[in-house]
Amino acid sequence: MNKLLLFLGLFIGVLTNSFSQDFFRLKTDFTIKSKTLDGKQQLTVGKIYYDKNIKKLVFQIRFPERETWVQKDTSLYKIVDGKVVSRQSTPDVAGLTIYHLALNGDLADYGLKKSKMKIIDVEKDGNKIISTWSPPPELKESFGSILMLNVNQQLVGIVFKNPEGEVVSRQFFRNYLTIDGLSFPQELVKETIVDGVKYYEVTTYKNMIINEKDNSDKYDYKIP
Amino acid sequence: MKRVVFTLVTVFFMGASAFASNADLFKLDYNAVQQEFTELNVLADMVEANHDMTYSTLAVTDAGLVESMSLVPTAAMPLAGGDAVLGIPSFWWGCALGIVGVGVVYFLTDQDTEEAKKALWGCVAGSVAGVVLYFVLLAGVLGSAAATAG
Repeated sequence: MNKLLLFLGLFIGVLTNSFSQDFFRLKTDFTIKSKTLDGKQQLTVGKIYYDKNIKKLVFQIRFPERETWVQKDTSLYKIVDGKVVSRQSTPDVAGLTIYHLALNGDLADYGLKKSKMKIIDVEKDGNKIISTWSPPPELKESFGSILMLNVNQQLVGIVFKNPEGEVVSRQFFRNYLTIDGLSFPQELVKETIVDGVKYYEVTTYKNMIINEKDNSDKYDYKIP
Repeated sequence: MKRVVFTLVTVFFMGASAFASNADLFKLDYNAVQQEFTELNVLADMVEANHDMTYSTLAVTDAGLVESMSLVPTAAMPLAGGDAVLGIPSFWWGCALGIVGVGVVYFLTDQDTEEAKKALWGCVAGSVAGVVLYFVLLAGVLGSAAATAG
């Protein structure tokens, strides 16, 4: 009897494991269209390589100019013709990006569940859920609340407010596509409100490849 | 009984109204957004069709287009942007991360000097707060030492 239970336990364990997928790599083409505050237009086209285990964000940009940007730990390198032309100190933002969140299965809550933000309200209407998140007391003077809209458990929109309760930024996640089991929005619309004027940025993704076995050197780009 | 029904109906409509109010925050005029980028959509198609095209080559072959579009020669960071870097106000970057935060804001907002200034004020505020805290703690320690000695 004990042997039978052990066998059943192992069988169920193996079965469960075989159904759960581990997403660790993502490659995609991207296009960013935006307008600056002074009315100028900006177009950025390129490819992104990201491996969540390496935690190195690699952007191979081909427009406006051919250059590679690599974000690793607290540094952001700009590389042109195989040479580092600039290095900036930054916080380690890789874990906060949409790419990392999606690979980790945390995109539905924008990673807020693992942050210091606390959920304070949930409203439900059919398959739509609006949740309100509040910053911890020590950060309330600097941060406002965040509202999230999920439809069918997918993140559709997120609204950032300032401490005064005014909306300062909104993001919309559109056209979800499931690629090899990973659900990822193909379009991201960001709206920023400055002095009552709305500015937009639209990022589109295409030709996404998940868990690519080849091109490891692209994901673990060696800084020259 | 009527009161109970009335209360239930009122609570239901209040809840529905609150949802509708917050739901309005997620309304987006997508057509208006697309219209904003009519010219950039055309340029994106040109770049897609010609993989060798860069800002520099376009400025030579079609300088009029570059000028009429007021095209920026630098790239945008495909992380987050706009007024609040990663959704965090510039002031807080400076306050929490000092001069590094100023650099983050300056770089990630595409060299937006106004945002960098806000972060710089945050940096100054953070430093002042640090100095004040240092002297408060020092006074406390010295006071405690004096009391023990006395």
